[in-house]
Amino acid sequence: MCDQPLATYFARTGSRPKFDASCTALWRGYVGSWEILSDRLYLVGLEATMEDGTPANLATLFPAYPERVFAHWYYGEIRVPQGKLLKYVHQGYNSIYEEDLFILVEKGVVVRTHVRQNGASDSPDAPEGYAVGGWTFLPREKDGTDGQVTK
Amino acid sequence: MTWQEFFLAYYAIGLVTWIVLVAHTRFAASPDSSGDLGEIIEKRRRRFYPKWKLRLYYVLEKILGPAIGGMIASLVWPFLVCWKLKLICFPETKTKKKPFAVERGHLVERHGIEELEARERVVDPMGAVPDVPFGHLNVAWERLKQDLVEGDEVWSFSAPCETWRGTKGVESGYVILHNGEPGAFWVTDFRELEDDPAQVPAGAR
Repeated sequence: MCDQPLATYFARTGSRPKFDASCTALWRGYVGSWEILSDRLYLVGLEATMEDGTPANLATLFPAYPERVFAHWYYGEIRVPQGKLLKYVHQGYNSIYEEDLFILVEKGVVVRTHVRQNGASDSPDAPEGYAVGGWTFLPREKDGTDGQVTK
Repeated sequence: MTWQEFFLAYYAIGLVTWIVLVAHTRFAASPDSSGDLGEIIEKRRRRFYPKWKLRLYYVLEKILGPAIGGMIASLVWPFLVCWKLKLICFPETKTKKKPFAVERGHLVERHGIEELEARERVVDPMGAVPDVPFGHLNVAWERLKQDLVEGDEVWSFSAPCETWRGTKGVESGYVILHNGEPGAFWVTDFRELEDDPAQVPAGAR
């Protein structure tokens, strides 16, 4: 999905843990997994490494809620690109896919959804699922990566 | 003047121009955020790289790179001078955003602490939120409450704002009125508005 509800949580609480940015495609330093269940938005997973090198998960941020966190702080429209890639843009969430599913969420509760058609791909090999075309790993000791550019 | 002498003179002027421009950029120009990425990478290198690798990068980036850059820049110095003059004569105006502060016109409604804390309890059928005022945001609410002193009032507010994309939005939350003036506040909600004035809450109009 093309949004970061956890960033809103950090803004509302006024504190953001110091995550370690491992590559230029993930400056925020974490990947959250989200689920909509019974029209409610939940954070159900977190993969991150802290600045001191220790791994972090949902329990690191929400010790009493290691499995599921209700995102009641979130208000916004989440865009979920679907289908095949129409146009790749190497910036933020700007790539265009065949359709976008918009989910309007108020205080963590889904209030409306709609789909926007962006066109149909002519290429049978066009990739599906949001992805970044290239990135640079930042220096890190453990994995031995050193400024490599991966595509 | 032979063409060799002309070239030498041209190149010497270029070299001096390049040195002056580099010195100006380093010592006189105002700092901006463009160095952030360099700082992050440098910090990580110092943490993870062995000494020989740090020295190699130092030679490449601080000696070899600038030397090659200087040689090339000395050849195209008229363009550099034009570019610098353009920057001096027509500077890019970077307007600094005024930090947000709640004003009296943004106030919406006065609240009692108990009434507010009862109203702002979050309920979730999956039990994925603590049973305290403002749920997972309770820590921020408690922080705001610490600023309350005898005689203060808590009000909700709603204020117009602009998103980073330049679109219009409304920020709302709670503010402490101390001696009748808005003071410490806590933004709990941000909504991006479509071009419909009817959507603008009363306090934000």
